[in-house]
Amino acid sequence: MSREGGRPPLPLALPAAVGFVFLVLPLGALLVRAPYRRAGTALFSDESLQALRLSVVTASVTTVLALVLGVPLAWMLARSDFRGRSIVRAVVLVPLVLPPVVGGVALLLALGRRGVVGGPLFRAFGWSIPFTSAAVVIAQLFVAMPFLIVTVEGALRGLDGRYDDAAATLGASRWFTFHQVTLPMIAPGITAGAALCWARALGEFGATITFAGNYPGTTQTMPIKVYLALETDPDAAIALSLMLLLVSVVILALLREKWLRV
Amino acid sequence: MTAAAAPADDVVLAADVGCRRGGFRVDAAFTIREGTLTALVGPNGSGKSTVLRALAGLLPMDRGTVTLDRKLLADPSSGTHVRVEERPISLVFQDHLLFPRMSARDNVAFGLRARGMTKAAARSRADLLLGSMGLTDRASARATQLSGGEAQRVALARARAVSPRLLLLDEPFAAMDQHVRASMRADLKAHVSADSGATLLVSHDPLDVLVLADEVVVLEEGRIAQTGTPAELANRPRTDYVARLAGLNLLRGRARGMHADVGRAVVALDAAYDGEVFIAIRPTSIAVHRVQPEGSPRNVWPATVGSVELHGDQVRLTTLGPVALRADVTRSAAAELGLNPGLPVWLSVKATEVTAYPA
Repeated sequence: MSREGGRPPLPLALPAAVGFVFLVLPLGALLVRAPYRRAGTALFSDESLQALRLSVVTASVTTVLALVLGVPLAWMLARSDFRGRSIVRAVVLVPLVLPPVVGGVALLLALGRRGVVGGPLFRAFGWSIPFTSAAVVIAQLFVAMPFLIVTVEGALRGLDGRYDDAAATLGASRWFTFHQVTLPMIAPGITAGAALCWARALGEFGATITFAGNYPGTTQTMPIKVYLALETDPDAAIALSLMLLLVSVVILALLREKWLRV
Repeated sequence: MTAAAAPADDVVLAADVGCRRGGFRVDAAFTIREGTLTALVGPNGSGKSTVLRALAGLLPMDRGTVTLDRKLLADPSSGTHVRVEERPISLVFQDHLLFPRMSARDNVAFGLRARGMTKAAARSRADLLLGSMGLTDRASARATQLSGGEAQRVALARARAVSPRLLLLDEPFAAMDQHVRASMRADLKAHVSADSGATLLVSHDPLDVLVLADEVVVLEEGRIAQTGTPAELANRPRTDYVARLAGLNLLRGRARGMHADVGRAVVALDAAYDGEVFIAIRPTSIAVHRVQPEGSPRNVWPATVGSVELHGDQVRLTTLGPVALRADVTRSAAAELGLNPGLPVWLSVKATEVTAYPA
């Protein structure tokens, strides 16, 4: 930063201002039009509460699963040297850029009643995954886990690998080193990754509605409820949206504390 | 050279380390005896840390063997490679690498817990060890709250806690202030001689070598240039690096009787020799004159003053001429002579002040 003073040049300042207004306008509209008087009744209607509960529970289950599976996967990508690691990393990153609807279709093809894995499962045990709460979690996991993996892998890469060397020369196995040394040191990264993952899971729409459908109580999550309520009860939709906005802001604040400032 | 000698009973480590790092090869064979501290010295980039990492098992070797207490740890020709965590070898790093989220106590207890000791037992052992090193009041401090000197002491305690047979120290004092370094040096000497096993210390500091080491291994460009006791090195350096470590001038020439031809000059020797010799001359043995000195069996060479700087309570000159030397004169002599770079002078050394030995 050499010059902070002075007027910024117009060709930069004008588009910057337009861009900012564009981002802030819809959020402002949400705040302006929010039915504050009716917000309580809209939010606490049985259907809304049901959707809220389902969303919080599924997003939390998803985050726990993402931690159990994603942290080890991130470790493998960052710390171990196996054949085809770069391919594995590329595959892990695909859901980040894949349209969620496509993810939902892909999940149906894999785990649906006639899917590659779902077909044999259905025939053998009569298990049908789509259109259940489990399907909601699976859809969210598919879309949100890569966020956690990328964040944790970044934290691992930022860690001096010689701590592992030091631990090994003291007689520690790699597993002991992982849970005693590595895990505490990347805890901020894991927290950030989990928060991102939870927020992404909470907002998941495309893959969920495709793979899990829209059954109140079992698969109708908040975003789906918002979308549907917009037709029948706009005030409820706005109130629910406001709530999701609030959650996003809280997550962002948490990330700033734990991660962005580092 | 102790290398490849028949392994005596008290040999802890017999190493012949061969490995490649980038385009750089290290091939170094040496042994370390029980209860000794061996200093591994050499210029930057000579491969000292590479040897240490290979001994610890952190770096694969492509040739040679590492034998500790008669047990083979590494031998690429037979595919033997005992894993790092299974070698009774600890390593103290230059930047200590204490685990930042743990207290000093838990850092020291780490190795014991990794070997299956309960948390409580490991912690009380750690407290004992920290106490013996005068760190009782810092035991509960986070690693990040320790000063550089404290952290390195804790790192030493952490490495000693697992009772290694071989303790490797990679420039442990490099990042410390002079006075901290002196007290660390004294501590290290006391603790290491109390422990069983042996110690290998990588250092840059001539004082570490002269004060701490029982044996010295000099590594230059990945090869062993000289081994011996500090006294042997200090009196009879065989490379320019060792000569500078010992604070001596080193010349090499061909002797015939009482004289040696060192290229552009002839040196009168302390005794008769025949063949290739090294010639060591103490900088304080060199006298500097403005006019050619008169006198009997002396070495007298014309020279030009290269650089002049303070060196302790002396003034150190580097001289250019038929023999390039470092000479120390008193401050008053320097003032009287009016020494300045470029000044033509005469250097003289008594033959009795010249030490020659076969190359």
